[in-house]
Amino acid sequence: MRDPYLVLGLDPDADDSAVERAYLEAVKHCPPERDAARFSAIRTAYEQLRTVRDRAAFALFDTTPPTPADVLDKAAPVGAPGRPERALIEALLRGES
Amino acid sequence: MSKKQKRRKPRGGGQQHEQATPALERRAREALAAEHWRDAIAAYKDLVKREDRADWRQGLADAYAGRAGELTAKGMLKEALAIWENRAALGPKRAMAPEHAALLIRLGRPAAVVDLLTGGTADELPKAQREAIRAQLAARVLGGDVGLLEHLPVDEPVRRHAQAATAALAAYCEGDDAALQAALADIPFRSPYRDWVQILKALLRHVQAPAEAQSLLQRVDDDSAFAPMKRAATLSLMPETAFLDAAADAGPTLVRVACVLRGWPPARIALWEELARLENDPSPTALIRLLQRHRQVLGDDWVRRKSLSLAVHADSDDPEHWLYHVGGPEPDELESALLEAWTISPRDDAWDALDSWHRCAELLEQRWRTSKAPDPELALHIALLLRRGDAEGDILAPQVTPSGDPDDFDSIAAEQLEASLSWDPDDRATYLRLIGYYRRGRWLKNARRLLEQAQSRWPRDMALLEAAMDIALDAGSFKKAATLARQILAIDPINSAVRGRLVKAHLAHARKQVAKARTDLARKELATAHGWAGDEHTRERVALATSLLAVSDADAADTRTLREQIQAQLKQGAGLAMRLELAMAADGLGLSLGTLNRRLQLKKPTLRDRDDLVASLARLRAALDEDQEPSTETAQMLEGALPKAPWSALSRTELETACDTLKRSRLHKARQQAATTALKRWPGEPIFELHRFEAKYPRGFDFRAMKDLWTLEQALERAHDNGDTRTAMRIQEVLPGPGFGGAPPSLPPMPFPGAGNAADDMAVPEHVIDLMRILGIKKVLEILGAPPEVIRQVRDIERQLGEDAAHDMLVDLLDQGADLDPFGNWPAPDPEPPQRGRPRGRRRDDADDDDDMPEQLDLF
Repeated sequence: MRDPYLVLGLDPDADDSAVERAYLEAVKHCPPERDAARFSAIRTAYEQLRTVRDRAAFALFDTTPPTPADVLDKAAPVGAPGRPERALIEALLRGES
Repeated sequence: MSKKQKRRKPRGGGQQHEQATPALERRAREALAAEHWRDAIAAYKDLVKREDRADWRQGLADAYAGRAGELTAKGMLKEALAIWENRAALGPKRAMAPEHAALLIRLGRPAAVVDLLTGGTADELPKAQREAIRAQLAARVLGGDVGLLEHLPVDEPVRRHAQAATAALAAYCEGDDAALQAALADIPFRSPYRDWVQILKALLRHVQAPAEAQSLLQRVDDDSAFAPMKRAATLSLMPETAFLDAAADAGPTLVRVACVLRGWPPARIALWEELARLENDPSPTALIRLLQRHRQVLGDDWVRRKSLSLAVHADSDDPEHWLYHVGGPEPDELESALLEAWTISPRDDAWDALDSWHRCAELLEQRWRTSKAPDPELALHIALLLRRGDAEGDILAPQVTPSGDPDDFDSIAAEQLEASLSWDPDDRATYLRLIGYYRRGRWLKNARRLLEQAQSRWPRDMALLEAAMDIALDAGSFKKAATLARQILAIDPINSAVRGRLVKAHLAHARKQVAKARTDLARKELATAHGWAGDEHTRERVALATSLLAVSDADAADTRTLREQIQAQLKQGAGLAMRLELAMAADGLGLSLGTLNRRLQLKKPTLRDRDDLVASLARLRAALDEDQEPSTETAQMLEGALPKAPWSALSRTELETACDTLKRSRLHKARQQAATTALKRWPGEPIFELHRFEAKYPRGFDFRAMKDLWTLEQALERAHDNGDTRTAMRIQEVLPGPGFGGAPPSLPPMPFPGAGNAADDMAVPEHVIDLMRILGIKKVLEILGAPPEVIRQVRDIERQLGEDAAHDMLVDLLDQGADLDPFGNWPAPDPEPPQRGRPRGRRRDDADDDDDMPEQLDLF
């Protein structure tokens, strides 16, 4: 299970409205028909952080170990999709997989 | 010093030259189909030597192609090329495979490929192959090998469209979409660059219209010359989890292209590469070390919190020591307490779990008291910690009634829940949980106190209104309950549960009035119940109860009416189910069934058929679900009617349900009969073995017929083998096992089945004792043919008490057994009921005493 703060892109001190906003934004960008697994993760994250009581419970009782995706998201979140450099594409087309 | 490499023999041990041709041909075909390329090459070579047949040459060519592909995948490009050349040498007319052409180009030897397009035999080249070779050259040109173009004729499409394709690549990389569209427009549909066009179109859409992009990519074949670019684009469209899995198996260049397309910054790519070097499922140690290395980027607080979580999952009994050992953070006092609480399972020790969460709460309370301006969230944290013990262990579960002992752990959990409300009074669920708990113990004063606190916050809350009504009913305040019911129905008019509870309460009150011989008041209660009945079925049941009350009162008119109704139903084929309905209605009011039967002139009931049996069991189950157990008279009536029940006409599910219903009704004979019938159809089925055993020994196993015990132990093993954990657990609860003052252990009940001769040969127990000293207890029990379950139990005792103590105990038992009947049954202890249900909480004072004390078994 993913770190819900990272799934929703929230700061640790996010309040109810910030959680709600982040959830709606995340769902807008990732509807279930596009990526069902990610949508499910977003939904779970929202349930985990929805109220101040949920967030306090998460802080006190959650012992889920970090996943590689958590580490990646925490260290360097995904940005806007980019375009590879020409040299990289040329290398791929030359057979350098 | 290098060793000479041993030449690998083909499968079949090199005997194929001696094999008959049909056998060799079969082997060759099988090897080819199984993709055992080297075996297929050897076999087909041999075949072609024997006779130069076209199909065998084709087989050899296919085997070469497969082997070359295998070598290419391993990166052994030169070796692969050699195999392709062998394939080409099979015949001048054999077309060059696109993979062969691709390999030649990749290894910097495009001349041969170009010659295929421009040489004298170019016209003989099949169209599909010509297109494939052109695409290979086109991909190479886009890969930067523009020098190739000089070797191609001016009108060759690879050369003619190269400029537009290269311009498209440049425009895409520079983000100039207008130039890209213009360049793409210059590339005709039948161009060797057409796959490239599809890929670029997909890349233009992969953010805004991923499904469309996916569809465009699907137009590019997987063996296209541009397939690596297609794979990168496909990876970029994958969901995150699938991408991380797929990327682990892809090459670095391909993954880098995909990562950039997904929007991964370079730091993320670098970190992913570091993570990819760990195992697929990185161990906590590997992960915590990675977190520590990247602490600055990840943030100290996050790394600290996640390190604590990892410590819980580390394979260590001491998480703090593990953290120290792997260079993790040193936990502070609260973190230490949390680590302890996280690692204690309430199933293993409910007391320790409760205590550990309370310890965390105490530490935060200290912080609260010493802080000048405490954070309000701290209060919430204290409340949650105080509730955690109950939440985790489900201590105040709906089936738990208050023990009344202030030192018992349900009392302490309730005390902690009450304390939590002073820190966080806005948790409705806690009020309801405590109200339910106090109601079950009929501690209505406590329940009312909490209800008042809760209702001051949520006056119109439905769950609280229902709780208030239940408390009123518990106290016999029917008027108050009715008022509350009206309030609830005003808010929720279709709340049938409220009506049902009121009807039930009035029926219960009517029963009390009958017991006091106040049938006038009982009638009033029934009339009120009728008024609250929300459906026709309930109204009918209340009406029947009213009629029975009249019969009980010897009301001649009502008795006659009811008698006529019943007789009419009996004539129409009503059987046991109808009589059970009458009986349960009588039970509900505490009326004598015998008296009613006499007044209604009813004979003993008869079970009509399968449908009557099913309907009777369903009625019985419905009554049990409403906590109405059949009275002794009703049970006797059923025991009299069920011996002739057509159990064999029931399905397996119906029989399982029937056995459960009969268990709940304590109709043991009928249950045993049903289970025995089921076992004839499904011999040895664990669930029915359990029912038969339990029904046969309703007061607990008496250690007389050991065969029954072994049969149940075998059923337990079968349940385990079948993965039927639920039945296995139920059997384990029933099986008598070693324990403190519990049922006696089934210690060696020799002779074991099939061990008669062994036991006879060792008629003198001393021999067995000597053998135990020499071979060990386990071995001797195995020699004597003890069932695995018995051996396991002896091993358990050995572990608990030590080898010497277990040995002495067995020797004593053998001595005792020998005095009575050597290797015969052991003296039967007093029957004990099977241990069931949730174990009661232990006293706090006992907890420490138990810690170091070995479990003493009451064997004698």
